[in-house]
Amino acid sequence: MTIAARLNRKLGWDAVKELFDSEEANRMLYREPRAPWRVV
Amino acid sequence: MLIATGNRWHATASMFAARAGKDIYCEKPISLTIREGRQLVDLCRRHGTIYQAGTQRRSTESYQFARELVRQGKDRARCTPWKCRSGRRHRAAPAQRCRAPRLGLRPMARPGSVAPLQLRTRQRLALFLDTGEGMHTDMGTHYTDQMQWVLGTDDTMPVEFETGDMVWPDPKQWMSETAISGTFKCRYANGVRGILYQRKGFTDRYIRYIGDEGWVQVDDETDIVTAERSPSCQTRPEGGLSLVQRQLPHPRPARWHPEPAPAAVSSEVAHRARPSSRA
Repeated sequence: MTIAARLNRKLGWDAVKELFDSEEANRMLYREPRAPWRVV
Repeated sequence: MLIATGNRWHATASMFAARAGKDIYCEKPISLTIREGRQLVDLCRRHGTIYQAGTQRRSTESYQFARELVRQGKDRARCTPWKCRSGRRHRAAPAQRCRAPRLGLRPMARPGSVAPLQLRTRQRLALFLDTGEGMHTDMGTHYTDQMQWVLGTDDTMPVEFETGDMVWPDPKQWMSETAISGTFKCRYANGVRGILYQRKGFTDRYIRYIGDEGWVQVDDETDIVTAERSPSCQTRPEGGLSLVQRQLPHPRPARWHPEPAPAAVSSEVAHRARPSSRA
C-alpha cells in the first residue's frame, strides 16, 4: 500500500512470485541496509 | 522472545532471535519492507523457530465472533449489538514501561538509514520511510490483518492495490514522508475488495464486513459487534467482504462506500468518535 501510494498508481501483485507488475515498484520491495549490516 | 522494540528494528531483532533458536512473539508491524518480511520467514523456517506477530485481535472474542458470523454467512440479525467483554487487549501498566532512550541520530536510525532525525519524535517515527511506512502500516496493520484472517488468505495476498485521497501535512507545520490521511484499496483474485480509510491516527476505529445479505462491524474501542441485514448494502461476490476503517462525521453518510450505506445504523455506534493514540 505504501508503494502504491508513493508511485500514485494502481499496482498488480503476484503472490506466487512475490513481485509487482511494475519494475519501479519492485525496486521498492527492499532497501539495502547500510554497512556493516547485511542479511546472512 | 518478546520483541517490543521500535518498528524499524522488528525484523532485524526477530532475525537475531531466530538465529539464536528462540521462538518469537513480535509486535506489529512485522517488517519495514516486503522483502525483509520474506527474509524473516525463510530464516525462521531454516532455524525451525516459531514466529507469531502481535496481531492480538485474532485472539479477541469480539473479532472471533464477527469472523464466525462472516464465515458462516449468519450476518442476518437486524440491528443487534453484541457486547463481548472478555479478551480485551492488554496494556502494560505505566510503571512497567521502560523509559524511551533519548533521541539521537544513530541509535534511532534503522540499519538502512543515516538520515537526520532531528525533526522526528518518538511517536512520529512511523511517518518516515527510514523508520516506518506510515500509519496505515502501523495501526492500519491491525485491520488489514483482520481482513486476511477473516478471508483465510494468510498464504496469499490481494492481487491489486490502489490509493487515493492522500493528504500530506504542511511542511511548514510539521514533517511526514508518508500520508497522514488516505484511502487504500485492494482487490482479491476472487473479487473481494478491501478499503482502508486512514484518517490521521485512525481516530474512529472499527472494521466492517459487507456481504450480499448484510454487514457485520466490530468497534475497536468497545468490542461491540453490530450487524444488520441490509440488502441495499451489497458488494460482489463470494460474500463480498470489505474492510472499512475511517473517521466518520455523524451520521454515517451515504458516500462512505461506493455502494449505498445501510439505512439504519445503531446510534450507539454512529455517535462514537473519540480520538485515541492507543495502538
